[in-house]
Amino acid sequence: MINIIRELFIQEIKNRLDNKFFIFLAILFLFPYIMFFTRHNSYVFRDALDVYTFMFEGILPLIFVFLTVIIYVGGFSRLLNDRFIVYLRMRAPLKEILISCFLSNAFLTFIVFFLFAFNLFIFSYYIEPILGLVKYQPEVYSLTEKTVILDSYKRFTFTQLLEYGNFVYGFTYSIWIGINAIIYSSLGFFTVILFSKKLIGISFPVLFYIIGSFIFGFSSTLMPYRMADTIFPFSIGQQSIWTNLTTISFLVVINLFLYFFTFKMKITSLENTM
Amino acid sequence: MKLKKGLTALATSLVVLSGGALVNAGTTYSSYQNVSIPGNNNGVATSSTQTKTTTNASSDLSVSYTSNPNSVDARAVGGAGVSGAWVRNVNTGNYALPNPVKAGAATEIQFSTDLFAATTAMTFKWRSN
Repeated sequence: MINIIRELFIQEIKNRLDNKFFIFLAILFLFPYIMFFTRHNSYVFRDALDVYTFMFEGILPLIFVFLTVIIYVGGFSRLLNDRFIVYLRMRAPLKEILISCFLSNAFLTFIVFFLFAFNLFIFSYYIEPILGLVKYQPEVYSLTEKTVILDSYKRFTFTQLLEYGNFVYGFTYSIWIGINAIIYSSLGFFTVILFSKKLIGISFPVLFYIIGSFIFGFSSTLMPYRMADTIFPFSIGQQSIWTNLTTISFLVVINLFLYFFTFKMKITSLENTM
Repeated sequence: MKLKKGLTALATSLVVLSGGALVNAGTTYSSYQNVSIPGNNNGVATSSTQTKTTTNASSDLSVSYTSNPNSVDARAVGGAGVSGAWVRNVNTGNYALPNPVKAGAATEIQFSTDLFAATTAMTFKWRSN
């Protein structure tokens, strides 16, 4: 079984690495740089952390889940519609096919979004200071070159990790973005299988994220657990990292529920229809 | 006669005081102001207006309360599209906002919330300088 899944997984990844995927990747990776280069003169920056968080501002927090879903789940829903899986079933049981597709989705979305966040970190902390595009002005914030370092530890959630070094923060936060990409795209993966109308399946995680974020914003109790702030914690005061882990745990539980429902119950009806 | 002299002195001192107040308008802190900046849609609110004393001098903003930390950016604006750079994540504390407005022109502070920020209440005082 593991061999079949591994073979299908490798095949699925190869199938996805086409021209369209790389064009999407180029647009995704270039977008924050275009925004930065066109807007950075209109802002005052204290330090490299300010530059890094600036790269995540704008429309990205709004469309993040949509982007995670279109990397793999969009194409996967077409596979379901094209009954391509019927062809694949001649080679392997449906469960193995779906597991390999699930793993392909998790792998691709994690790699893409980890690299997305990590390359912005490398640029902000190591490349931009060499280029000297931004003149840091901590004095505007009543800070000095020394106090701005202490200030950065308390600025946003996860920046507590800066105390252990810039790289620890950048690497951990990039992994965090990658894990969130897996979680939301997995939601889409399961709902695409569950709903007969694929568009509803794809839209579910996007609407869940956007509507949930707005509704949580109306309650001061729920505010710290808001989905958008959990992933991009730059419009909220610093929280304990446990707070963000609570939100993500809740989403993991939903995913587990959907996994069992899909693989234990829905799969039987799928096998009968395909 | 004494009354006339007294009135003249009073009027003179009032003129001097009011004149002085006008000259110093930009270098004296305003009284504390409250604004509510609409959230969720890059909402905008503005401070009271002051007259700039020195061209290009940065304006002092002292925030004593904000209901949502890291939600608000602020910048100084003048007429004819003149504005300073945005200072990000304005929380409680003191800020020196870049303000390129010319001396003698009216200026104010503009606040803006982030895209996903909730409506944010803020208490502050400021001087344009």
